[in-house]
Amino acid sequence: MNVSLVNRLKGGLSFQQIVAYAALLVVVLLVAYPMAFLVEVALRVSEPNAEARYGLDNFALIFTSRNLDTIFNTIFLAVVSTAIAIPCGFLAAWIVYRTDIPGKRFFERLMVIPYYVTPLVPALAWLALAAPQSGLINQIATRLGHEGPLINITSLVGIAVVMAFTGAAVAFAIMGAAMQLLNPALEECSQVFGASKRQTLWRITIPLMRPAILSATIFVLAEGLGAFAEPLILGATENVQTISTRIYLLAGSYPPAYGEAAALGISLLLIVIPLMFVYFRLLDNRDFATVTGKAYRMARIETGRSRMGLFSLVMLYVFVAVILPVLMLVVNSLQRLSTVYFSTSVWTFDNYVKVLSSADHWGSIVNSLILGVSTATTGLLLMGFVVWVIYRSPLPPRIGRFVEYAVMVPVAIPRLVFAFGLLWAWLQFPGKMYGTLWLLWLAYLTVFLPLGVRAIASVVFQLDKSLEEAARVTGASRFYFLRTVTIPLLKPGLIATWTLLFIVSVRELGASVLLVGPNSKVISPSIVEAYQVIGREQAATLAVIQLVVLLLALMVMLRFTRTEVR
Amino acid sequence: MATPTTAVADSDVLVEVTDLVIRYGSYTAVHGVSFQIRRGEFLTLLGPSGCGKTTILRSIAGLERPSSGEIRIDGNIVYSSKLGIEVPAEKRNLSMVFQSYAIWPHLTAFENAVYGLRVRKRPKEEIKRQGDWALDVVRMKQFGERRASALSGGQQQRIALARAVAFSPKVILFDEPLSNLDANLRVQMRHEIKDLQRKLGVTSIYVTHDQEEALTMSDRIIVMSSGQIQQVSAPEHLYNFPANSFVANFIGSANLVEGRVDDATRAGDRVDFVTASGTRVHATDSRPPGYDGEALLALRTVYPQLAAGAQTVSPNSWACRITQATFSGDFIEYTVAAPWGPVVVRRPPSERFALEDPVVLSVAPANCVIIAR
Repeated sequence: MNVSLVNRLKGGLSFQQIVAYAALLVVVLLVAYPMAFLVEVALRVSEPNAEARYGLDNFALIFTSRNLDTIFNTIFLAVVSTAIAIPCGFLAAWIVYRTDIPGKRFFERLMVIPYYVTPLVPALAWLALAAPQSGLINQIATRLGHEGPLINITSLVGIAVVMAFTGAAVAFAIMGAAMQLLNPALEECSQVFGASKRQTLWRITIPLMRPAILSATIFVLAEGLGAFAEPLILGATENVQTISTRIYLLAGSYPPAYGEAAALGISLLLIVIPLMFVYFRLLDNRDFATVTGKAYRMARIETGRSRMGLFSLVMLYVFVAVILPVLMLVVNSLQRLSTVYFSTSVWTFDNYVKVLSSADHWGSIVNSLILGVSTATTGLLLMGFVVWVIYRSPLPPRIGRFVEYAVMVPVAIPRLVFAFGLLWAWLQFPGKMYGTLWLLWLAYLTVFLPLGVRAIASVVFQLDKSLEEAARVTGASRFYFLRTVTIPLLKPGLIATWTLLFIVSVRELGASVLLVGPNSKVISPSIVEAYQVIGREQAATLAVIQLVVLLLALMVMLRFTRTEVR
Repeated sequence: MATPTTAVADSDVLVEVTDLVIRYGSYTAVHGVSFQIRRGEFLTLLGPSGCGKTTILRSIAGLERPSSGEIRIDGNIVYSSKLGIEVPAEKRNLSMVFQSYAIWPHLTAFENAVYGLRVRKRPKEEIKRQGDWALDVVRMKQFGERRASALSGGQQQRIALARAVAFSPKVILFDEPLSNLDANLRVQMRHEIKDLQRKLGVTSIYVTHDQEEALTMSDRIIVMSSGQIQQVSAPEHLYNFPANSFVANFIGSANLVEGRVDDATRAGDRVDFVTASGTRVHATDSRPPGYDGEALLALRTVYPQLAAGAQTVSPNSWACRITQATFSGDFIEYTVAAPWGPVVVRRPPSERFALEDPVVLSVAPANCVIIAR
C-alpha cells in the first residue's frame, strides 16, 4: 500500500502534498494575478478614478493607422531578424561544432555573449557606428567620397539586423547544443554509403536538426515580437515603433493611455501564444531519437582547403556581432562628444567620473546589484522548490504537468506587457509596492521563472535517481541525505544557475522600464534615461560598467557550467 | 602443425592492408599491421576493447586517417602515406554496419535502405527494385514505410543490414553490429548475417570482441591485442592451435604449463615438452615459425579425459586426484592435481567424480599444444 493511499484512507493530505499545493498556488498567483489586471484594464472604458465600466473600445483603437503601423513594424522586425538570425546561428554552430576549424572554445564563448548582455549594447553601439549622418562608418564613407549614408541602421531593415545579432546568439546556443547530441555515426554512415559532404549536410544533418531549427526559430521569433531596446534606441529618429515601445510610450504619456496600451499588449499576446504553443509541442514531441542525452565524442568534419575560409567567416561574424559593438561602446564612453571622431582632444575619462559621482547613476548600479543578488537567491529557492514539485513531489502527475506548463507561461508574455499588468495590479493595490524594489523583485521572480526552472531541472536530471534511492535504503533521513549527497553533487550546477539568474536580473530592461520609480532605479532603464536625457556618452559609460559586471558574472557561470564533452 | 599461410594469389585479394600504423599523439593504437582479405571471404578482427580493431576498420572505411601504411581495395590504393594518397570515405564504394545502427531517424526504413543508391543517382526503377529486394532479404518488407525511429533495436539492425547490401558494395564493414542487442536476438542475428553473407557472397570484414561471434561466423579470424596481430587462422584451427598464451586465454579456456621443448624428440610437428617439474608430455608445436622465445604447453579444458582408478595406460596419462569439482550445468569443472600442478578439466555432467577420488588424466598429443609465451 503506498503512502498516498494511506493518507487518503485517513481522509487528509500529507504534509508534502500541502506544501506542493502551496507552491502551485504561489506560481499561479505570480503569473495570473498581473495577467488578470492586464485584461481588466484593457476592457475598462471609464476614467481611472471613476466607477469601472467595461467595453471593447480600447480594442477598437488597435485599428487606428498608427497602431496598425506599429503592429506591422513589430511583425516585420521579428520575421526579418529571425530570417537573418537562424541561418547565421545554424551556420556558425555547424562550423564551430562540426568542422575542424581552430579556436572552437574561443568562438563557443564569444558567440553567446550578445545573449548575456542587454540588447541595449548592440543598439547603442550600432547607432554610434551606422546612424545615417553621425555614424562612424558613414562618416568614414563620406570622407572617402561616398554620397549620402552608406548604411542606415535606423531603418526598419537596419533595426532588424541589429536584433538578429542577439537572435543569432540564442539560435547558436540552441542548435549548437542539439548538434553536440547528434550521433556522429549518422553522418559517418552517410559518408561511407557514398554521399559527399554537401549531400550529407543536406540529406542528413539539416533534416536531423529540424526540431532544433524549428524551436530556435520560434524562440527567436517570439523574442523578436517582444523586442523593445533596439526599436526604442534605433527607431527614435525615424519614429519606428513596435508594440512594446508603443506600450511604453502610452503608459508614460499624460494622461496615460492605459487601456489602449493593455489592448495592444493583449494583441501581442495573441500573436505570441500560438507560437509558444507550437514550441512546447515541439519540446514534448521527441519524435526524433537523435537526442539521447548521451553526449558523443565529436567527430569533426575535415574541411581541408576551405578550413581557413570558414574560420575567417566565423571570425568576421564574431567581430561584427560581438567585438565591434563592445569596442564602440568603450570608445563612446571615452569621448567628449560621441559623434566627433576625427579631432584631437576628444578623449576623456570625465564620463566615468560623472557617472560614478552621480547619486542617481550610482544608486541604479547598487540597486541592480541588490536585485541581482536577491532575485538569484530567492529565485534559486523558489525555482528549486518548483522543480521538486514538478518532478519529485507526491502530487498526481497531471498536476505536476500543469505546474510545468504554468511556470513556462511567462516565456510567452513579452516582458514589457507582463510588467504593464503588474504595474496596473499594484497601482490599484493600497500598499506601497509601486516604486519600490519589491515590485521589481516580484517581476523578476516571475519573468525568470521559466529560465530558472529549466536550468535547475537540467541540473537535477544529471543526478541519477538511484543515488537518492540508495541513500534512502541505507536509512538516511531526507534532510541528512539532502545535506550530504544532493547538495554537494548539485553545487556546481546550482552556482551556475544562481549566476545566470544574477546576470539576467542585472541586464533586465523590458520589465524594469515600467516599474522603476524615482527611488528604485536600476541600471538598464538608467541607460535608456541617460541616452534620452543626458547623452550617448554617459549612456555608453553606464553600459560599459554594466557590461563589466555581466562579463565577470558570466566568467563565474562558465566556470561552473558542466564542461561539454570533448 | 604450423599456421596456414596467408599468402594468396593477387587477383583473389580484395582488400590489402600493409604496415598500417595509427598513432594518437604519443599513443600508438596500431603497430604496423598487415593482412589481406580474399574475395567473398568473411574475415573477423577479434580482440579485447582498445586493441585497435575498430580503428583499423574505420581506417579501411576512410573515417580515420592512419599515420602510415597502405590500404588497397580491389587493386586501387585508397590510402598510402608514402604516395600521399587518401581517397575520401564516400569514394571507396564500401558499406558499413555501425554499432549504434546509425539508422537515420528522419527517413523511413525503405529510404534508409536505398540511401546508397540515391546518392549514386541510380534510376528510379533500380532504386525501387533493389530497395524491395534488400528489405525482402532481411524480412523487413512490410516495414518499408515505417519511420526508422519507430522500429525496435533488432529491426533497426535489419534495416542497417538491408542498407549495407542494397547497392552491391565491394565490401561490407561490420563494427560490432550485435553488441547493442540482447542475448537471444544476438544469436539469431548472428545466423542471419552469416546466411546473408553466404547467400550473397559479399566480402565482409567484421569487428567484434565476442569470441563466440567470431568463431561461429568467420572464414578466418585475426586475433589482435594491443595494436598487434596475435594470430590469423580459421576458427577451428585458432581454437585447437593457438599461437601464443594471449590467444589461448582469449579464445576458449586453457591450462598453461611452464617448461621447455625437447628438440631432440622432434618429428614434424610432434615434439616432447618437459614441464618445469620434469614431466614429459608428447605434444604438438603450434608456435609461429622462427619463434625462439619461451614456450608454454596449452591444454584446452575440454580435451583431457578422466578415468576412475590409478592405472595409467597410454603414454600421455598420469595418475592424479580430484581437488575441486564445480557443477556448471552443461559441464562439471574439475581441478585435478597433475604431477606439474593443478589442471582444470571440463567433463559432461554424466561423468561424476567425488573430491579426492583417484583418477587417470590423459590427453592426446594432438591436444597438447606448444605455444609461444
